[in-house]
Amino acid sequence: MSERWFGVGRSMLADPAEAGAQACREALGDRRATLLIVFASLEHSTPEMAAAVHAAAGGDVLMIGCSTSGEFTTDGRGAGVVVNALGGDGFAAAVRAVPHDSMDLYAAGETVALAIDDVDAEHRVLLMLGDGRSGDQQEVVRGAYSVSGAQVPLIGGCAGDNVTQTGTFHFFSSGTEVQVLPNAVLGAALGSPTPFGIGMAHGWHRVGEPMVVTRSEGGKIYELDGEPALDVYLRRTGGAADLAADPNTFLQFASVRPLGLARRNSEDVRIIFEADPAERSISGLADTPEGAMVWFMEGEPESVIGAAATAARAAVDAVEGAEPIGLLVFDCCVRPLALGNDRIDLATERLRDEMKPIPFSGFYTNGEIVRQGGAKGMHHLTVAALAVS
Amino acid sequence: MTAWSMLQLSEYFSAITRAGDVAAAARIAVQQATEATDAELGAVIFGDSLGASVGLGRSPDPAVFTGVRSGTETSTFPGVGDAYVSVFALGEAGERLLVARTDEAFGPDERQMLQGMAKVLGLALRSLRTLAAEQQLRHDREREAESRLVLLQALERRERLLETLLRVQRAAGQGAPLGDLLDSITAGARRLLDDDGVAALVMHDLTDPAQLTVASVAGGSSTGRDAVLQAARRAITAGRTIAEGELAAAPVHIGDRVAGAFVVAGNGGGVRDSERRDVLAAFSEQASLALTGAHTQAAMHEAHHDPLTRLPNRALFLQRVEQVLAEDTGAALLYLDLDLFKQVNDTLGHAAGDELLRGVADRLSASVRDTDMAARFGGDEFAVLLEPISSELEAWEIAHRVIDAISEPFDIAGRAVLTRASVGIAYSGAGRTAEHLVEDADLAMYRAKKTKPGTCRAFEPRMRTELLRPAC
Repeated sequence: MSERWFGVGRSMLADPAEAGAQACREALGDRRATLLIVFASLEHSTPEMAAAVHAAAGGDVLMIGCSTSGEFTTDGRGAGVVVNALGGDGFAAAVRAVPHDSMDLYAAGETVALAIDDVDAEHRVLLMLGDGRSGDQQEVVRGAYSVSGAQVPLIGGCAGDNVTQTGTFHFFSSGTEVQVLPNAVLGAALGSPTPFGIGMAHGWHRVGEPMVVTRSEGGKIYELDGEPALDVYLRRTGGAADLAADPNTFLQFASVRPLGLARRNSEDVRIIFEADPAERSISGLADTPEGAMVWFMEGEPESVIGAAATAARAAVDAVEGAEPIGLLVFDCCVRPLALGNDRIDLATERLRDEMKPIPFSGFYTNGEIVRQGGAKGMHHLTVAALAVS
Repeated sequence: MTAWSMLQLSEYFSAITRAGDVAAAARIAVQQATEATDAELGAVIFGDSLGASVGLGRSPDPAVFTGVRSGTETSTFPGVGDAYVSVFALGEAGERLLVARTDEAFGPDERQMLQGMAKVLGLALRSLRTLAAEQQLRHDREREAESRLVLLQALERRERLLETLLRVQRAAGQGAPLGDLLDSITAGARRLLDDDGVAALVMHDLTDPAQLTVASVAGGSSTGRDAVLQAARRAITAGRTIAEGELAAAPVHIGDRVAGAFVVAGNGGGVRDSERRDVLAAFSEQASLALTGAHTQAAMHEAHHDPLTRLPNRALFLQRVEQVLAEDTGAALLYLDLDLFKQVNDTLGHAAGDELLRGVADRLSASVRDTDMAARFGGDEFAVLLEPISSELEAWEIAHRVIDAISEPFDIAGRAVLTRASVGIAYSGAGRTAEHLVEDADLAMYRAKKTKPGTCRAFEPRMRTELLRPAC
């Protein structure tokens, strides 16, 4: 009999394979893991790294993981390899992977959620690692929810690409073979005799007058209030007229000036990442339907900084009576851009102080997944946290 | 409906329009309905089976959802526990949309929105089934060229129908005036009928409810007005959809009350009866929603306005005065009483008296500023809130403008009728309530009327004691 445990290892070695092996050894000690969860920088996201992590855990172990836009642990932020390992009596896990474009996103969500069927435990959760670059991510969550039902919470984040918009990688093993899959969707069902805790926070709010989306197609918005969307966007945000000429400049500017769609008690955030100066349109990753009412969203530095610690505290509190042994955090990649280096470091420090001595790790995501209460599960500009006990 | 729920409905229309088959439409409906209301559970129910469901995994026991009847408030779901439920009919017998959530009951706004979602789903399902049946027909009979054209037209019409509804819905969401909204509904329905089709909204006449009147019409060179009115009357009397040759009509409701009928006519031609019924059902529902919304607004207006002069009444006026006093920006209140009003009433009759009051109200409104509020307190007493006021002189000038305007002769029943207004002024100040201010202005008016009718006095504190003196 062994107690349940959660270990975090991290390496900043330049060689991806060496970093992977080192991080994995640190996470494991000499224990045998039920599941490995790997977060790696874009540069470290190589087949060699994935194989080295898997081998360092003794091979024949379940593994999921993905590339990031930066990782963090109790030691602060960095870009390398982070390995989370959990094991001990009572933990059960099952994994699924769906390669890019092998089926539609809804079916991908359904497929990864089937992992839940293989886990028999009193408490279950589905950990999802999506791709932040493929279309309407809410479809993945909808698909997963159609299988999981209200009883099994969904938690996770979408892989990052260091905010380069080039593409993401996923690391996967259902036993012996190790795969690196570009732009995939992964799921790991986790089971435990004690509860999992889920928390969420963001710290953004809407500002100014609302606008109506008068013409749009998918994530592309052509008109706001009957005017070309880019013109309205630049006027309302005070952006320079030629801002859209350079895609990178526009991305940096727009990603911290998102739109929020009117919802029952809150807003659905849409991060704008692209503009077309010729057709005067702006684009976000998720659908922004015609007829929707939208606001500009703004973050108060204090509450945005504190969001990671708030989400983590909520997750730990939610394990209700059991002893939390570890925490995974999915933190939106736009938050470091919006906050700047000093303040995002402060956010990580607050998270560490709040969690002491519970080990944790997290990464900067391209979309956060939390489905607990209600049917909606895809979030943006948010921090999501999962506590295990 | 609030802007929030209206807009959710617009988004929903967009999504449903994209559905390719019955299963997809049901799935989209249940997703959108649950996500819009933060509900954990939802289902589209077809009799004893489920068209789609969320919240209980892949293959829940249908009975968990099908067993919940309309009108039920809460129900227990396996693994979830007790949840508040709301159930809406889709149109066909036994078909329902159900949503359930654990945190709180569904509010009236949400229920109205969900009802709209259910109606649109019912409509979309019918079109999709017609389409599926036609596809089957095509396979069966191999009437390739011809049936492809018919199919294409049916598909196009279905899309146009939902797009037209979306446009109307959006106009309603953006607060378009009722007249424009009704015209867009008849015009929208008309576009979906044959070239010489008619779409008309027939309502009970406001002044004579026994009479029917055409409130909005589009098209109609070949169909007579009398035929349209007759069809409307039959639908109103029957309380259900009727068809009569080229004409079909469905009742239109304001709340639960039948207020009129929506009538469509066309020569048959390329438009099938089933499609005509769809157009009729969809647009009579739209007209009912628009009228119910407008009626609620009208009822609000009526509750706060004097029916004779259309000016705000005492209650609304006092509310506004309280607001302005709370903002403490400087305001004045005029209290008016007409001289000689009783004589007009007594000599020329009540109708002339009423006309004089309406005339006074018009002149009063015309001689104050846009930011001021004139109100009728009853009888021949009026009040005006002047806001903002930069000096006492400014209030004084406006009061004289009012007195001068009212002293001009009124033309009533071919006669020149004279009246005068005595005016009292009171200024806002620390600790004054709306009631105080009205009393002060009333006192000042009383002094003006006593000393010299047709003039104006500002309130002074000693007026209170002067008033008491005759009683001593």
